[in-house]
Amino acid sequence: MENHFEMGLDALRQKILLMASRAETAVNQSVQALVQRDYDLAVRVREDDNIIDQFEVEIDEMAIVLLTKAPLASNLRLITVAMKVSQNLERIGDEATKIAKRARDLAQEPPVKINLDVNRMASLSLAMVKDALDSFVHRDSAAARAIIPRDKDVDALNKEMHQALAQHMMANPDTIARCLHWIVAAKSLERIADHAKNIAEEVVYLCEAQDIRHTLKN
Amino acid sequence: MILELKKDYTIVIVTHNMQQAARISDFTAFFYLGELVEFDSTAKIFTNPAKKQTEDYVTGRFG
Repeated sequence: MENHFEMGLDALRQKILLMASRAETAVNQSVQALVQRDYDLAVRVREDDNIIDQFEVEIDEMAIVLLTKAPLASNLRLITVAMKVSQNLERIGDEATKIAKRARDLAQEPPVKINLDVNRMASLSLAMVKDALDSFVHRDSAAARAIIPRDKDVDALNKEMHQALAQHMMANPDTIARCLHWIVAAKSLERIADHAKNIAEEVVYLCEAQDIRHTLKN
Repeated sequence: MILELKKDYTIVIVTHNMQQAARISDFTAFFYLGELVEFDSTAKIFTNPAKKQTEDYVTGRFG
């Protein structure tokens, strides 16, 4: 029979998953708004960000209450990791809001005639977020470790897009304002991948009690 | 006083109170039914015990 404390831990896990679902939706919708030049969708994403923010507050409150029960070992690690994961999810929500802001602005301007593989970059970042959360749910340390090197692929794509946009701006100065919106949006996708990597590192700590952050060989 | 005494003496405290053990000791040994299950630094025992039985005990699944 589950005791009160175990029920509290389950509730914390469920809250993280709900928050994760919201954050993933926000990123999906912000990219859709960007690519499809959907002004209304971009506005909705920005309005919904406060829901994700509220989740972070609630998760911290739940975690603090659980910490007063003096949890130990894996329970202690779960609670501290939950707080860090929620912080990263909140930042993912913020980055989605930034993409949505740029999508909103770009939707009101003529499109820039440049071939940018933003969908591929978005897919890679979103896949990292999804896989990091799956590894959290399944307590799969090996799966979490496998996510970490994928961040380099997203970094490389961001650099490619940045270079392409810089060249386009030099050749077409009238597109500078619009290209800068794209540069910021790409940077936000790159930051989303960074946060997914952070979540994966926290899952490794949860499973192995090993802190692999800031190590050269991940 | 214990912090003073420990400079010259090894101090052993027998307790079921895990908060007391965690707060005051440098090393912790977990015994069960007369058998030594695990011995390690207090930080290790209470954050990442090696033995499942120790994990189950410190997380309150039994005992």
